[in-house]
Amino acid sequence: MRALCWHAPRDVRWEQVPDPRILNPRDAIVQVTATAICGSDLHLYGGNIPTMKAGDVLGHEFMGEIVEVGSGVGNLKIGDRVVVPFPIACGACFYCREGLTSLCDNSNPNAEMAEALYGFSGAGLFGYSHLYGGYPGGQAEYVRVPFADVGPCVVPAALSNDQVLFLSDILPTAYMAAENCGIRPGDTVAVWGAGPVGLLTMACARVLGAERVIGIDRWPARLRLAESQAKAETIDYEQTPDVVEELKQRTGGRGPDACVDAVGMEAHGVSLDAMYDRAKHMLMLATDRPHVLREALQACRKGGTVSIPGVYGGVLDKVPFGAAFAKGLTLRMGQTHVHRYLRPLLALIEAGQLDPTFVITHRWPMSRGPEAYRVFRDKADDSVKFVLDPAA
Amino acid sequence: MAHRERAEATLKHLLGPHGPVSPLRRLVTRRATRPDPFAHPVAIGLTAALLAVGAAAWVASQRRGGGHNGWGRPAGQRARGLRVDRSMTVARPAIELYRIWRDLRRLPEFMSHLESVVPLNETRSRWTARGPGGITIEWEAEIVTDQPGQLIAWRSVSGDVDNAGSVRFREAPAQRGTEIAVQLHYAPPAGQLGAAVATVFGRGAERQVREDLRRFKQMMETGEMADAGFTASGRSR
Repeated sequence: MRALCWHAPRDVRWEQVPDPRILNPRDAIVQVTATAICGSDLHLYGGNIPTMKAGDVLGHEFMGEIVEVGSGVGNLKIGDRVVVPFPIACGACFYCREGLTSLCDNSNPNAEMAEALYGFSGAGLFGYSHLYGGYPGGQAEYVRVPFADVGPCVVPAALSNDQVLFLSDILPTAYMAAENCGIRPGDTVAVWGAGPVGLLTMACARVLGAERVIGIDRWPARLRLAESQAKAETIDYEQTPDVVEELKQRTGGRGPDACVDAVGMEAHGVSLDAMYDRAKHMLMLATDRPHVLREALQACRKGGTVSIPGVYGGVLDKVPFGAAFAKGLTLRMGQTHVHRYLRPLLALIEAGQLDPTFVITHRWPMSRGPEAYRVFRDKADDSVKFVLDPAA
Repeated sequence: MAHRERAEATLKHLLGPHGPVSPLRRLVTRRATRPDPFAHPVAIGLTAALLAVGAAAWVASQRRGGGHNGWGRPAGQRARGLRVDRSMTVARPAIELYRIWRDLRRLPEFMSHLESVVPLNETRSRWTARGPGGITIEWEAEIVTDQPGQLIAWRSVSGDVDNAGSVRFREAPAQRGTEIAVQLHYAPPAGQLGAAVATVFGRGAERQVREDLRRFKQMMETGEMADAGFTASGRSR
């Protein structure tokens, strides 16, 4: 089969690799019908996540058709159209039973590596470095899906690929980010980053009853989408560099009730601390650039919540923890427990209450993947979300 | 500390004819007491000996009535040779975990260095492990304590490597499964074989036990072992 393979930072190739096969009884093989490039794939593209190896198959947002099932998979049959959650979860360990499937105890074969880095290991993920298990990803013609009796969700024929593809990651991620805000009537939610997850978080915050949503970014096309599709007010941080003060003034001096960092480790900014981060990052003195997190902690109202769907990988410098403590903030974060949101969100899509397709700006053949990575990384061509078709 | 003396005395006894302080043994002891958390061990399985899981010192001290409970033992307490203590929680009932472990033939399913364990009678068994470079290591072990659902302790009685170990099963709070505590003692053999053993052992032993326990947990909780399978880079890790 062919797949998009990582070879080095900024070097992704569309190439021939061996077909996957069933290795364990609970495996299934999925023929991919649609896949997407995630903002977090850009962390891999840029070389910001360790333990990638040349030839690794990328991709963790995918859906397709079941073409083979192992002897232990009773709930799926060949021909089923499924969306696959990006974390791999066994369904049986303490964490899975608590609904915390991205923290599964049993799905990361390289747990040892993650334990050395983080103390404990989370779930294995598709196509997201050897630290997260080294599983071949979904930007490919076929994927082996472990614990297929737990993960894949059969989707109704009436819904298009575009409507359901994002159930694999960004829609549940956005929903969990909004849910983590603990939104109450009257609340204002500020969202840093109007990329696909940020935009969908704004939309989900609305669904969950936020009174006002404020989106912060610098790309005009994305800010327009925030306004038109998520009914958000916006702040262009290049025009309004003091985002914290601006948010305070827009909220009657209180600050947003909840702040969402939908940017993560590779934040850009124009302030002094952002330049300091860039310098340190380039000198390899720090692993992450937490400019957005600093602003969110500073801007959030007393007793408020900072929700962090943006990915962090390592050690953060000069994070105003004193502000978080002094204001009694609640911090919520982590990889998304996709499994527990799949079916409820599918119901919302079916009912027409949530339509995630508005983030799609590019539908390309997967063979043009290497170029898609470059365009998406540069946010060129007003790109927000790439959906790739392996058959085209 | 009294316990340490007791442990050393026991091991000295168990080490038998090779004597307690051969240069090789010193080498292994030194390595063992300098854990390198960032070692990137290609843990090949000489943990063989190791996984002959058995607390020689522990068994002996129990016999003398001066035992500890096998849990939360202070770190840094070491007898001569190598000792590894690891615990892990498995979301299955203690008796179920005990039964798999007590069926010694099944140990190679999750202890990757073991080739086979063949029961000879109720308490005796013959263990075969793979070492580096195709070396095979063999020993005979006996179960010295067997409390269904709670404890299995064993030690080697003859063969290539002196070793002893125990595994305890304790119910975790609020139906969160069973806490397993494994304790191993290993005394490296002398000569060429010992050198081969020590090469792998000094750095890899503790990691090997962690990985074995993790595989046991995967097997008991999910019925299979996590496997990334093929990656284009040709390695799954």
